[in-house]
Amino acid sequence: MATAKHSLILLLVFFIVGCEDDDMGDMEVFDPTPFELVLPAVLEPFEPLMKIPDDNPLTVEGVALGRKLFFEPRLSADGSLSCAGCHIPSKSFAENEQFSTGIDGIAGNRNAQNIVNLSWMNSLFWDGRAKSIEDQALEPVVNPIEMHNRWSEVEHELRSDEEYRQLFKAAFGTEDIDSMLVVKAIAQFERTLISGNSAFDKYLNGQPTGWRQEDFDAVLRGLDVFMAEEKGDCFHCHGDPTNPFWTDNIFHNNGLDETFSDLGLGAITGSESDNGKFKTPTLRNLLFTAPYMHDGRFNSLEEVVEHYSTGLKNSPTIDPLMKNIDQGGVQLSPQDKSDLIMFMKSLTDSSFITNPDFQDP
Amino acid sequence: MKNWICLVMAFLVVFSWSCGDDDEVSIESFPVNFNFSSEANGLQLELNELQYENEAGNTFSVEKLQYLISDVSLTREDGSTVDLEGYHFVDVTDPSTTVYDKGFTVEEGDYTGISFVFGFRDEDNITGAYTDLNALSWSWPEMLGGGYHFMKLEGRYVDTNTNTATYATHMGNAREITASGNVIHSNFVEVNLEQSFTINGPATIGIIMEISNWYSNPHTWDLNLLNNTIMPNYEAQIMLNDNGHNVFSVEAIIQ
Ligand code: HEC
Ligand code: HEC
Repeated sequence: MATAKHSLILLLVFFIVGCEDDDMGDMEVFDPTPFELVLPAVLEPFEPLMKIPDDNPLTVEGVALGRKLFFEPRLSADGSLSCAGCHIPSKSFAENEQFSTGIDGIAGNRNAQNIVNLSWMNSLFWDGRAKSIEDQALEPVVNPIEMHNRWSEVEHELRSDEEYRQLFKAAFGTEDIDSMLVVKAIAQFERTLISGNSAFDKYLNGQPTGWRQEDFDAVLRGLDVFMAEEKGDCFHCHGDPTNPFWTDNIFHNNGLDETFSDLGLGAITGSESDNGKFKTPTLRNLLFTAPYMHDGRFNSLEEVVEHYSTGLKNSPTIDPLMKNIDQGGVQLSPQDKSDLIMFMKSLTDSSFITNPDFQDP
Repeated sequence: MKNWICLVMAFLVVFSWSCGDDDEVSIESFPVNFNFSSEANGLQLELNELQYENEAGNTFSVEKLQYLISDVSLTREDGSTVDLEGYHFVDVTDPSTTVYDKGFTVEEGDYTGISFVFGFRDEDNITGAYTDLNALSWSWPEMLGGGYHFMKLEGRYVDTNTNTATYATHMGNAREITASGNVIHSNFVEVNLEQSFTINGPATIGIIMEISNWYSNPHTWDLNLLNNTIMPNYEAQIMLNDNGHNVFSVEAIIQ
């Protein structure tokens, strides 16, 4: 009886293995270690919503390789600029320049975004033109005003490096390095760049914030301004205490301009009703990421808040949530403005920028 | 050799399947799902077109329409109900959300009506309880009673000076400010649609929202007066609730 059962199980195993894959030739060498992502408490419930492609699970080897590649200047044509050249760890993976400058000294027209909690984003870039983190990483390498390289060059460079051959073999089971594997590895590293340990997160977790009581009182007053439709009404687009991403992940025109030199989403969809719309940025770690907006036009949070309070400009696509447009906004009181700024500052996560796992290996 | 094993296994699978339930002559159940569509002035909604008119005579467009449905139930001829628990978020700008298909199965037979809750009943309307909704920034502020939005309806209208202006009709708990403090009133709408139908196969129940009806019957809503900052406006929230009883109808039941 036991034997019969065993042979049935064996049969089953054969069946599963046999029907799935015809040759198990080099299977045994490739055995990467699954990467255990530890999410901060505020993000834990959102684990099922993480966008991790089936063909690119996080592995210890993949993340380590991605980290090395993220800091690798040889991805650029002249070997001078890595991803981290514009996405600096101590700046929450943004930079403090209005526009980024590539290897040829030419500046673009967009402000470098921070790289935080990307796994929950529906699309990447200010205009959402990349649909996955992998797709996003294909672009900067060949962008003429960024790394200005060719993928064939990068592939050649990495293939001729014994260390990289070994790292790719460990991560993906092959030394046949191509652009797809490069961006997969980078994407794995980027998915580990998770931030959820700000003073406000601690407050939500019921932990001590480390802030003076009077300062945190201002934070909570600022939250009220943020949440009140008749005041800041920021929460409709930038999240709320139940939304730890601090963005709604979609596109809006927040009243920066009457006419658009950069069409934003409209240039991607070709639809006039999308002109001047940009992806709502997260409000995490703003203290590190100045200047602000897609074109880095505001140098301080004071300027940002003044924009929403008195500086709104009307246009055919201005978001319906922008109020009192003919007076430039809802005219927040000086107290409301400073409280609102205190609230945004409480979303700063210093442990994120000092995390040793996120630095140049 | 391998093909042979596959064949045997396929046989086993088919065999064990058919062993299941072939003797009982029971009432059959069929999959049922729901399709939520939107109309304005009786026409299928076209987003971003400044071409609809409400009872107050405002010309308006729709740019965003998102709403929450929960606790759908079907009424049998004998008055008992088939309760399909759960909630569904409809975002008209994202066609993949207009079909509510949670694998419900419903017994064959004759039915007399469809009902659902627009929004959440109080016991379900708990701040932060649903991660998928949280990620969509769908919460309703604590200061107004918390829980979730029931609807975000936004767009543009032509104002009294013939300028194009914006409106945002958001609905959720209604906060009343009284002399003795704030009182939170639940503001969900129980929608009951009378409709005789028979389930004798897989069915899709089509439900239409007539958007302009949010602005009429019984209350005429003038966007010149009620455009923005509707959430903290108690009277406006109650008007939406009253009008909300007349915005849905059954479009068709497709078997
Ligand atoms: C020359 C500076 C520069 C370099 C080098 C660079 N980036 Fe960027 N990055 C930017 C700018 C500017 C944007 C915004 C561009 C836009 O929206 O069009 C951006 C956007 C992004 C985003 C989108 C974030 C979001 O929230 O949507 C990611 C992810 C990113 N970069 C990753 C990388 C990776 C990976 C590399 C290396 C392969 C890299 N970047 C190299 C400047 C740079
Ligand atoms: C209608 C949606 C919407 C509302 C409401 C809104 N924002 Fe924004 N916010 C955006 C968008 C979209 C951007 C990016 C715009 C751009 O760069 O063109 C942005 C950018 C910002 C930035 C810059 C972040 C960065 O990384 O560059 C800050 C800070 C900010 N908003 C704070 C606020 C505050 C405070 C409020 C409330 C007073 C608010 N927002 C209300 C949509 C909104």
